[in-house]
Amino acid sequence: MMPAPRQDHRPSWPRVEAMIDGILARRYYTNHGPLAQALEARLAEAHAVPHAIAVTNPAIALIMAIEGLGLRGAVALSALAPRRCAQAIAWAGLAPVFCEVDRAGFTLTAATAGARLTPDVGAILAGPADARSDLAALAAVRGVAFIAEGAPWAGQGVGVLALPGQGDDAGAACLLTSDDALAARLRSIRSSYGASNPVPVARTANGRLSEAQAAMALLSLETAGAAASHAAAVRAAYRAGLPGARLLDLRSAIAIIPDTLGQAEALARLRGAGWPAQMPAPPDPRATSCPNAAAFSSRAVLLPVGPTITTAAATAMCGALMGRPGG
Amino acid sequence: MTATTRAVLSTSNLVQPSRAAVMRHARDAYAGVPAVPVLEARLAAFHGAAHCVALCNGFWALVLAMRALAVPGRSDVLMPSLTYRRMADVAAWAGLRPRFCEVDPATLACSAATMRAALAPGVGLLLAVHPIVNTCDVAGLVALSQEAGLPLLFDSVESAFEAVEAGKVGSFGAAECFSLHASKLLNGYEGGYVTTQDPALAGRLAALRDGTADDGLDLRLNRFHAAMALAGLDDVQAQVRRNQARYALYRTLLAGLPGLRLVPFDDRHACSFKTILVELLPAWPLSRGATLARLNDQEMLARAYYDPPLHRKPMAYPHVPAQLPATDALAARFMLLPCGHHVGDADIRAVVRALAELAA
Repeated sequence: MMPAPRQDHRPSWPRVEAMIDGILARRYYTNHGPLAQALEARLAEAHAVPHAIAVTNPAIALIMAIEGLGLRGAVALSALAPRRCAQAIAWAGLAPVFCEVDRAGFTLTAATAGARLTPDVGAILAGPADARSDLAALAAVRGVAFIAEGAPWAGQGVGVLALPGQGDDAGAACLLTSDDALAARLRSIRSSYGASNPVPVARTANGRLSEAQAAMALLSLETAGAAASHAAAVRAAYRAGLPGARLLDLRSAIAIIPDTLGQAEALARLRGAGWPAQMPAPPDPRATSCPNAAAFSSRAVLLPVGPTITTAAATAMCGALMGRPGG
Repeated sequence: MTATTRAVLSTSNLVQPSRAAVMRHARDAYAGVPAVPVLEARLAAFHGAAHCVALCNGFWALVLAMRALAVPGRSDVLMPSLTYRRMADVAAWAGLRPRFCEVDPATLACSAATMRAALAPGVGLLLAVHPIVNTCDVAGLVALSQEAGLPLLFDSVESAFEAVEAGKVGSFGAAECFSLHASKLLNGYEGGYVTTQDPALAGRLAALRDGTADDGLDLRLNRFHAAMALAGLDDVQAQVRRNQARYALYRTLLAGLPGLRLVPFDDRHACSFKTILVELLPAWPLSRGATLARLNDQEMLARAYYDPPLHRKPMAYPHVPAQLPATDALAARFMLLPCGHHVGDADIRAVVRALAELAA
């Protein structure tokens, strides 16, 4: 059994071609051009925040968020956070403080983060699966900043959101915030171009989004609803096919904890049937004393959710896990 | 060349390859052709370098190259002050203190002599910057690097087409950095790259760029940016011929204007003729600020050449304060005139006519 054909939610080539023609006609390629401005307005409206700041990629966006917040010391984050988060924290000159995850849901919670909030921690970083509202409340109580990474966020602090449409590599991003002063700093850190109200910042970071990136993001937003519906249908197919199983929604996958089968056997069954199942990445080696996070990595299997997976494929993967012939 | 509206008279190159080439490469990228490795291979060949590593922009290309090259345990990067206005920020992101040196008034670039005079025990990297017109003394700086036992990184953003006696820019030192910003020789919307002859360094830079190294960061080049740059590479020889025609017209027209000196391209070796730089001589009747203001009022977006220099700017991060009188004097005297893809013969005549009226 091989993956079914890609569900293509990308903008059509004629739409892309028309966007490029527009860029060529305007002779405006970067430096906060009209498409970048339109994208920011669209994102601010869609996410109900006063400020959306488009950035060339998520790594630089996170660095800019840390710089804009004026953080020093350390940032607390899940031991299961993507590697890029700790890397960006280090490039911004801070230390990552890896926190244990909840035993039931393998997510960062106010309880697990609160246990690691040493005095040098200046911010809590939460991923899309983490208990973001509780963590934001904890940050407010402790007087530290809050960064929501990887999904829309309209609460306190700043959100770092990857944007669609850039292919499978080098994605664009945006920063979401309701804080006027922070937004002004972020625009000035990104580049003085497009900073309509430039303010002094310690250092700039060149995070400019090009007009081509803005064009692809704008076009992809038009089909984002269809892509999201498809992903939701695939997730539902997994849940229907694995009744009673322990499933966790992650950003680009759904994780199953195959308690009876075991990770190795589950992977063997899926891969034996030709499916692209993967193990989670291990926690950062610096994430000591995080047995729940380690358990997730050694026990979970990631089932893909995305344009290459149909609902039929999801159902077939469930069958393979259950040991049904033809699965 | 085609005359265009006056609203676009700026000093940015904004080169636009043919629509057919732009669309061909963009469509390939859309279809999944790996544009970035194709671009890297073509740029390496273009510069006579063994390796090219493409990144999201030139700023972060410089940051990563500095981070990869600086001698561990040393705190400073030695660089000219008369250069890119964000270069000190670049050093700060690389975790290094900028230490500034003078430039040679004859070339507007740092030289072995100006860098040697500013060497100090904390220096862990030499950052040699090519000026906007022509090149710095590559051979002398390579010799200094060997003599001092320090790695040499070239900022070659403004000299992507140039060559020196020993070969093409892009093939010297430990590495060279370039930009694919729309204002540069190759318009990739945004982007940057590093060339090197060292396979280990190329591997290290790629691991940093891809985030696969523990101390890396995802700074990959967008595929549509790579596609646009490929279209620019297809066109680059023709672009240089167009640039040369603009430069020749400026040279002819400015020859009759006392008080201004066109900084000449040294065409003994390949050069891009991309940028038009003039020096205001004592005979020029207006200050540079007044001259720029009058041109800008006519939508001719001329601008000052690297003013203020970096050592004169406030810095909120560690740096080495410097007194650089030669740099201070040079920073007050030069300006860039409108040029680039959309500047036609009529535009050039209008700019020089406006200057003549100021001089009258």
